[in-house]
Amino acid sequence: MALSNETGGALTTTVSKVLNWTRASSLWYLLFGLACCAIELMQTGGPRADIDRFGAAPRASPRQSDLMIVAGTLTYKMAIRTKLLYEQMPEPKYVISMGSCSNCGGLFQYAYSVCKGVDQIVPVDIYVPGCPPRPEALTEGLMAIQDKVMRERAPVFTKFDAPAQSPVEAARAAHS
Amino acid sequence: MSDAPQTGGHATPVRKPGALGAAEIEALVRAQVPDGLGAFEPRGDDSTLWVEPRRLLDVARFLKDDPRLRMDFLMAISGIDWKDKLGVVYHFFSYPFRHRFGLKVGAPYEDPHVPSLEGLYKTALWQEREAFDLYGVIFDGHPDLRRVLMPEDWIGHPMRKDYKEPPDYRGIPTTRPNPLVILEEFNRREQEDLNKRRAAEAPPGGAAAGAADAGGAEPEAEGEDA
Repeated sequence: MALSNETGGALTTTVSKVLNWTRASSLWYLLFGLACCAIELMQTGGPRADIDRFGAAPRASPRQSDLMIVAGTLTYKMAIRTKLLYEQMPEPKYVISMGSCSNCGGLFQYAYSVCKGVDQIVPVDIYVPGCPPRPEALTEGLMAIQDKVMRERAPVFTKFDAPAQSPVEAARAAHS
Repeated sequence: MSDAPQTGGHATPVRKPGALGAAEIEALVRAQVPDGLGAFEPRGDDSTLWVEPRRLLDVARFLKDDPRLRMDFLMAISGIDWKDKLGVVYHFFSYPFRHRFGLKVGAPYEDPHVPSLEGLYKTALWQEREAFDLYGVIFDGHPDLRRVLMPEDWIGHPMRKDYKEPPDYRGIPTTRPNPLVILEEFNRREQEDLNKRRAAEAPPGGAAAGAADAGGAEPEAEGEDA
């Protein structure tokens, strides 16, 4: 059922665009406020700088979210749990690192209990600098994630490099 | 408050009737507990009295229960690493009288045992866990002595003077490369590559001297742009 790019190019692109648009317009984020950046995350979800107008609703469970906004200082103790929560999120998932502490350890970079950046634990898509970033900055980060999602190739009609022989034929050839 | 003398931004501490000064509190403690007390360091509100670990509970109970003292608030338990020994510093406060007092307890590195004040002050539960986590002071009688800030399987006590940070924890590196150092290294290598390419492109022989001068002058300008 895979449409090759040559024959179904236009259809593939359109379907990709539609699917990407649906995904980008409803990025539900995991409530992952760890420290002071959590207050700004709450304000960004609040009435003044509302990210719900982009479709981004907060979810308490990683199973129901596709965006993890790591807001705050990550300690080693929390890093293990962060990895667990990230692995519980279903694909496709994205990570925004919000604030200096999750970008690189931030103000507490020389501390003994602080993990120097969340990208040592989970792969980060967008880094939002600031201490804390203003709601406008986090909104721009969310829009950058939306751009990233829109540029993706939808995995439904993706042309992949099929092997020259199907596995069944290869097995048949090996037996005969 | 308005007629109090201006003290450079600090408010005059509130005192209730019956409040005692630090020297008076020390005298009462010395009268009650005959031995096991050490030097007294008068520092106004922050005065501290050295106590041996075996007498700590007696002193603390006296501070809490005596009707003239009524130190019902254990403000802070601070672990501390004097270079020659470990120790714990306690700060007490009295809400009825609003007077304060401090105690210092020393413990040797090899066997740092101090009695736990958890029976008297419930706040000592987590504060002693913190002193254990960061300094390794073991509190006898504490019902749940385990780490509070560091992960459970962390090795070492971070606030000790001789603490060395491990290079990684469960695969997570504990350092992060300095981006300015990385940028400097990158620029330096770019410059070297540029110089090498210039030197290679220059025609060999007599013209090499002239070309090398020109090649030497140009990378300087290029380097400034970069």
